[in-house]
Amino acid sequence: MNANSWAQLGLYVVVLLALVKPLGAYMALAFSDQPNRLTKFGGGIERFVYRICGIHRDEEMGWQRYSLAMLVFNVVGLLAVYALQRTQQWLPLNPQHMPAVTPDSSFNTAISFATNTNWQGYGGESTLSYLTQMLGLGVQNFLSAATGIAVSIALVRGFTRHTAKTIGSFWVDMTRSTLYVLLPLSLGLALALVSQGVVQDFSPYKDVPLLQPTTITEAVKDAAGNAVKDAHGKEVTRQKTITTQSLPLGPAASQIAIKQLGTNGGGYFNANSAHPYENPTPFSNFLEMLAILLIPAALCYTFGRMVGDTRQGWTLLAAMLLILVPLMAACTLAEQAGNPNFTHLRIDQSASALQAGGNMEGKETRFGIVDSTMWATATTAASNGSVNAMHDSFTPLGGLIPMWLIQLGEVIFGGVGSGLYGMLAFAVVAVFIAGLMVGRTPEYLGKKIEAYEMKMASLVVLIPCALAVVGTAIAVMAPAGLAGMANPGAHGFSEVLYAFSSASNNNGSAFGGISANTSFYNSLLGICMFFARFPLAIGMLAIAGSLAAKKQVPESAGTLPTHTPLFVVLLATVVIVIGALTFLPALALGPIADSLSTVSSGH
Amino acid sequence: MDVVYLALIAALALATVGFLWLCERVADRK
Repeated sequence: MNANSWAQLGLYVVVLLALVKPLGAYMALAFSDQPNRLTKFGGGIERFVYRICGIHRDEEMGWQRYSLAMLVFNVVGLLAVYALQRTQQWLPLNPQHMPAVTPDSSFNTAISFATNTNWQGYGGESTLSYLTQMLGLGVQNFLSAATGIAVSIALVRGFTRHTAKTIGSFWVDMTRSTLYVLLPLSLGLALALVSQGVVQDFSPYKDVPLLQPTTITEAVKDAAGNAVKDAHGKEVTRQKTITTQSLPLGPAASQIAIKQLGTNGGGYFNANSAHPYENPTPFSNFLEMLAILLIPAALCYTFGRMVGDTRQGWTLLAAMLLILVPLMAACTLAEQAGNPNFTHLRIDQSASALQAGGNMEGKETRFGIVDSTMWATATTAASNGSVNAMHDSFTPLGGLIPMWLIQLGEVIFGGVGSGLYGMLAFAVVAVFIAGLMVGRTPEYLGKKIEAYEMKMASLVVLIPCALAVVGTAIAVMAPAGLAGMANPGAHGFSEVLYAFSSASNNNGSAFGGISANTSFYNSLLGICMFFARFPLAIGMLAIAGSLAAKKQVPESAGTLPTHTPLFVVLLATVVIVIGALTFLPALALGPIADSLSTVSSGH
Repeated sequence: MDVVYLALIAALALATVGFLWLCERVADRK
């Protein structure tokens, strides 16, 4: 990595860290139980929302009721998105006359957006009407992110309350997440993106003449759409000159802002953030990349503020950075090193004034290698899933890093809210392991960690791992799963492993290379996404309820300090060891074997 | 096919409610 690469990485981390405290403190105010200047300022709108929705602000919930409200609310949203896709041909704001989406793709997309995964088996501009994009996916981008924040705040209350039966109100937390956090930030970012050239309109797609007409060879088809064959059984082809191009438009900026801030990641266009109308300039790229980690990072500070010790929040953030920054640098190094086979062919892969150097396959020349690898690692560390480069085209080791970041459980920043509660599950496991080492009952933030919390935390940590490996195993054994693979051998296995890791950790990014818009993949990935989201949230809410009911234990000489560098290393180690132990065999069959075969084939 | 996928959504939701019930049972037992 040269000085320019380090400068870009450093600038990103510095700006991100500079925003953590102000935004984190702001969110702590938004979720405070006590009236404050923020809730007074927005109180009128908040009360109006409660009145029209029939919400009683002071009516708190136990963890069971909170969980049920969360589940029912999200399943209703899921059904609404399913219905919108199936009926979009009859609904307004469909200037391209998009037909109904197929049932299996509607199922997959509805679950995907309700679970904050935003895996996309379809191409947005060729499948969905403006109404479906806005009312279906755009709304779910807000609500799924707000759900994650609500669950994490309820968990924090579990730590702060003593001998309490309730952990807050799901409806109040949802309202405040949306009203005070997601809406204002999204509005500001959407306007900034429009200033950079991101489209935001309702006009039909525009056909424009190409600057340079291009000629293609296409198969001749009969009236029924079947390929015409000659007397020898060969397909008949003809030359066709393309002179125009259809430019897709639509209300993109408003959706892209929340897609990044809410760690949703579902692209308005099929090429996602590699599309010039989603991400036109290096500045829009920086803003969007910042938005990906902004709320998950700031929530760490919010957590510290709410538990009355900001050092606890900084500790979680430090553990996240301890894993992210080296992996970001390693991914950049792997891509800048390029393809070893090219060296033997005497192809110059070094960076110079005339070329980016390294492996530029699948990357935008507007962004180059560093912005592509930083995005790839940020989007997979967070459960965002948007891409500005094609991960399938990364070098095997460069592609391994985003995949492994997903497999670590989406706790290195993770999803909005879900990253914090996932990391707190690991913190519970870490203090338990530390307690075992010294033979004391583990404590975290003044609460004893007992068998029930450990059972729930273990489930939260292990469910996504199980879904990913079992799903991959089914797909590589089933003919329908194998039919979707575009590449044979280790690389094809990587494509399937990535898809199931992404769905089972609610990330949503695609490695690419597999044809996932089939009933097999749509159904199986949909099931993985659902179970990776709601049972985990319920497990964390159960921990919240259990902790809230406990008494505060005074700190003693035997209490493990959880705000020290030692705990940062312990926490990061637990995350890495669990991720490595679970996925190393699968990674050996995929990207590691792929890398070794690339190196050996070059000699 | 709509019926199949709607039934699958219902089954997933019910399974999750079952998981919630199990978590509650374990909590009551401690």
